[in-house]
Amino acid sequence: MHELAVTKSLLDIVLQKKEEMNLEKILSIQLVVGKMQNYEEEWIQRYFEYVSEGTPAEGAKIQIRYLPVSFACKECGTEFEYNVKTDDKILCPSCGNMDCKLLTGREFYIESMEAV
Amino acid sequence: MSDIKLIDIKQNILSDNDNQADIVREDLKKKNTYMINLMASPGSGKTSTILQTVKNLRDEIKIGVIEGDIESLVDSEKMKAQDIPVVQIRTGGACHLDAPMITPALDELMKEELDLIFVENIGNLVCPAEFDIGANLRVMILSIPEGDDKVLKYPLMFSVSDVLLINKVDTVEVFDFNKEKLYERVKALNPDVKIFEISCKTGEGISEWCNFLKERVNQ
Repeated sequence: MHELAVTKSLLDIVLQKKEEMNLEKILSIQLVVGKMQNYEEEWIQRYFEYVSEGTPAEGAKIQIRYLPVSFACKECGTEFEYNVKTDDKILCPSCGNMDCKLLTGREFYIESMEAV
Repeated sequence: MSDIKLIDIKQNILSDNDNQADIVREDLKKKNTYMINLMASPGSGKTSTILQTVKNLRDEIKIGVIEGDIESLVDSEKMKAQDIPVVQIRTGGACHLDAPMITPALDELMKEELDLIFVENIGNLVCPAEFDIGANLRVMILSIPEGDDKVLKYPLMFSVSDVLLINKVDTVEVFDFNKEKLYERVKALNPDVKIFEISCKTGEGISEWCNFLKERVNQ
């Protein structure tokens, strides 16, 4: 069910943008999603087709760019990726420090859309 | 046919909800009320935790509850039986609460003055993590029988929570639960999280949790 609520918000935003810019039809939508989120392109697409039926966004292709979960070491600044499924510890690969700051992984936004 | 244009948007998909959540938070601040978003799986002890907390703190602070459920009224009846002010939200299928659902429930509940409000979210570790409801503190419960590997399956929930309550610690001997491993995994994703080990059944750890909460509410 949360995909439905989310795709509705997504549709509202792109339709509003379409109005503002006086466009006719939305062809594709580019999303950025962090790997900590639970969104699969296939499902978002399917729900989007359902909610956008009969609107100028009908038929638009959803394209997701995934961002990894990544951290920066607070000691030496090294940036590194973290696999939530397999890694137990966050350890700076350069200096071994465990005090790190989350950089990416929670994103969920619309980057752009293609329209005519 | 006209040219295809690429339009820059850069907007959070849940921005409408987030804006409404900010309004809720401001409103609560004006009324000097502290709100907790309580999230967990079904059966982890959300309702028991609220009841235990109220029992411990009700002489000192005035507490109300917003119950989120897909259909039933079971939990809000438990609150009423203890004379706790309660408002029920029935989502009718939706698997999480969001800020627009909270707003009218809050208006209803705030007819009396309250220091603290618990929002018992829908039992689910996925979508409640994504929707800001305007709370001051996000608290999640993980109960021992659920296992120490839940961090791997629901990283976002563990990442966004300010407090983790490990409930049913009295059963740790029965289940194959590695606390050390859990702490490592949680602290990795969320180094600032406050962790309390509690048992709503035996009362273990409840006073530590309540003292922490009292301090936050009185801040």
